[in-house]
Amino acid sequence: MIHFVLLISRQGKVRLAKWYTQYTVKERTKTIKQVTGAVLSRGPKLCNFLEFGETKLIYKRYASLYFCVGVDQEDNELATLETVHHFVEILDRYFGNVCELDLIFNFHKAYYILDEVLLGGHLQETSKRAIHHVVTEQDALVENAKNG
Amino acid sequence: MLIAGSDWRSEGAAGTAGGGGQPQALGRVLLTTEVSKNVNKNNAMHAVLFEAITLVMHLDSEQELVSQCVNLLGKFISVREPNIRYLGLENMSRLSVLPEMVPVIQAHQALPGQALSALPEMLPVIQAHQEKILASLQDTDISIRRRGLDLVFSMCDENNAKDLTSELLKYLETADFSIREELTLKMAILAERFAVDLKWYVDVILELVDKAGEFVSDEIWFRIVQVITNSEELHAYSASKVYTFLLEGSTQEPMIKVAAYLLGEFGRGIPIPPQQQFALLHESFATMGLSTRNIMLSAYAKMLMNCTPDDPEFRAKVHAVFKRYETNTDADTQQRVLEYLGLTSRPEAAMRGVLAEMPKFPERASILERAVKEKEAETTDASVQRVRSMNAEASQEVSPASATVPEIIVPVLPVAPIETPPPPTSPPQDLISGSPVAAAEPPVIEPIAPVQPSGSANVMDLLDGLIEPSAQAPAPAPAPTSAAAPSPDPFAGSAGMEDLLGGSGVASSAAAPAQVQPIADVQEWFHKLCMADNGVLYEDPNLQIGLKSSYQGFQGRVVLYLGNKAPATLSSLRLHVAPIPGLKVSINEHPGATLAPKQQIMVVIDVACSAPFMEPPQLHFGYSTDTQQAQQQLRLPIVLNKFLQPLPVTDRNEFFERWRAIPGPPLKLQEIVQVSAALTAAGLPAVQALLNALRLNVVPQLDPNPRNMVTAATLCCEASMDGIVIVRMESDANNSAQYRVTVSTSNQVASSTLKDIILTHLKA
Repeated sequence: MIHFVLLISRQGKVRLAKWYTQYTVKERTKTIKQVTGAVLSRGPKLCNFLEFGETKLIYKRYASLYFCVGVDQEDNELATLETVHHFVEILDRYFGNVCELDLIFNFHKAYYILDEVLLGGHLQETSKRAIHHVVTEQDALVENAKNG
Repeated sequence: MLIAGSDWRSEGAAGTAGGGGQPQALGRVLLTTEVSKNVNKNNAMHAVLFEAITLVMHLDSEQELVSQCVNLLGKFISVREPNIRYLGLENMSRLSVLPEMVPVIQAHQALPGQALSALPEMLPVIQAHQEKILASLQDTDISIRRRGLDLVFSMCDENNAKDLTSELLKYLETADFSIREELTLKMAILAERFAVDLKWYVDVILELVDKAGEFVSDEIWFRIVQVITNSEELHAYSASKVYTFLLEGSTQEPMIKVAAYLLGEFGRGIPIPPQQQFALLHESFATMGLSTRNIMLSAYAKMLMNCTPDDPEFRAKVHAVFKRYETNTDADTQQRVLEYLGLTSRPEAAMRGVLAEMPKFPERASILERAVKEKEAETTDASVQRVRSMNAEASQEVSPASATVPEIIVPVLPVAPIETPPPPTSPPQDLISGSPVAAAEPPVIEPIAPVQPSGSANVMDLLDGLIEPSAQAPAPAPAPTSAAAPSPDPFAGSAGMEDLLGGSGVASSAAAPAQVQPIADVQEWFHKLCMADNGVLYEDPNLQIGLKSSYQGFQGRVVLYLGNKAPATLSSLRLHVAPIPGLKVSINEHPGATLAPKQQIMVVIDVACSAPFMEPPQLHFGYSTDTQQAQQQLRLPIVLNKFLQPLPVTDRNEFFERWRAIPGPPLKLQEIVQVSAALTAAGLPAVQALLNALRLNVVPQLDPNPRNMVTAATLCCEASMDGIVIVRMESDANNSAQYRVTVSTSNQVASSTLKDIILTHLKA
């Protein structure tokens, strides 16, 4: 299962953090620091998988953001990369040519979408169309509520 | 496909239901996956491919598929894409630990699995793989380097061991610090496991110590010393090799430790004079840490002894070194220096006896292998037991560093050198059958008192000496004192005899099946458990019995954990506790007759003290495996002092009234005792701690004299609650080893028993 998902910018700022197992606040900050240190220092040609204590760390760099995912030892790494890419494509479709700024200003929507894709550390929905549909419906609800 | 694959793997289905369809589907996947331009499609395809490979390896039913996998993996290792390379290496190392592969790996070189076809044209391919794998060690990517290292380690066998170890040694110089320690440990294990030629082993391992420097853990160099000591032909060779290393200027601590030890023990075998050896070693003396310096001091003393034409100049130099550290703050250093000074100033004979060569080590499971296993994650319960046993073993492993103790045994005993230390129960038997001195012992030993007065010192020393090798570190004082000093373990000695007298003939009953012996001293375990509530009661190569106890008033509960360490099943397991007057013992549920490998069962024993009792109950247990059997009689550490409850003293006057109320024997007993050397050195606080550990509650400042201690407790028995127990310890201002113990209770048996228990622990 997936233990955590972290989106980290090139400067080391955390744009999104989702934890699927119980980590205390101290452990979280420690993990973030370690992941940031390990991932940001890697060159471009190196492989995307790292040993990280009990978990495997799989990361992929999209423009200025690093998508880091911590998984169990027995999980398939390439499949996780596929999952990350799946998530990125959904974001892209929703925001239309997504960039880091979109995620900074609409982080709440990014979290909604992530919760639709991953549940309890496992991939929940593989259809991009279905997720897009659900999220747009939710947006419509929000609009209606605002307008009264 | 992906999820199905992982499901199949997790359920361990060995190709049952979908048997026919699976291999075909897998075959198709393996054959038709190809590299496509689109990176993401690539990832997806390869994800499925790797999952298929893992599944094939797990199922391991279709040989053809397996060989296909292996070919694919071989291709992947040299692909440019680092992800694929990484996964290729990882899966290949997984392949090599398949159980069916292991004999195949042993039989053939390098790449596992290739031997399935064993076609001669495969051989160059195999060689190529080995080179590629070694090349991956130089990769820029740390992850790939790690994977490559794992694979190298797992694919080593007798044929390629030499090449691989030399490659690894070269790699060690450039390796990052994070993997260096693991690397050195694994290399040490590899070198030992596949050492065809012992001389080669010595070369490699010394080179390893030289290169790895600070990363050589203690366990590694203990193992080196063990191996070298056990093989006589290596002595001279290793001494000269180590001397060469010193000449070339290697000055890291582990190297110096090994060098000092080896030169001290075997330096006389090489043509270089001891004065030169000493000079060379001494150059690095000042920069070494504490434990290294202590080892070097021992080595100097041995060298001085080996210098047979007596060289006064050499002696003066060595003595100068000793004198400089006479007042060193570290107690161990000071002790060593003073004793070596004394020893080397005396005539030859005394020196020779004490500093004789170390006997061979008994065959033990390699602690290195255990250390590697420890690094991998384990379940907590099993590991707790294992760590305990590891500590028990590790403390014994400390012997080369700290002990000159075993060396004492040699002159004292007529039986020497000891190849495999016999267990505590059999030496008394040997002595009894062999020497008439020992035969006189039995009538002297009273069944109650576990403590022997120093009258039977001679046989005690003999027994102690025999027991010593199997209980090295637990003996607290490393001091090679003269024979007149309090013998470290009179308790153990007499108790060993007692077992023989009291119980069924233990060692003699083992006829055809080999008798299994405990790996360390049963007496020491008992001793420790009298003071603590949890610990190991007994351990031998097959079985470990751990003990956890808790006492409340007059009742107590003791839980025995029997764990099967061996790969075989233990059958005809029997456990019986003999009842004794005054203590009710009941086992609620008897365990079954068999114990499967790696299984642990719990036996709960409820005890209730109805009246003060003298002797601890005996546990008779036995089991048998296919080739061995064991039968032991152990004392359970359910002693009278466990039923003591601390008594808070509020009114001093009332307390002293009670004290004076009891005039003298048989209720109030007094004795003067010489405590053990360790307690003498540590002083009053240590004695206080000991008394508290025995559940006698030391009440501070009750006695006006600060050099005395008073404890107050109640002895809880079922019949008569609240028997007050008062113990007073008076220390002697002139002689810090001497104490006067006064025990006062309301029951005669309790007084004598408690007094004996206290005296035993004080002297130990």
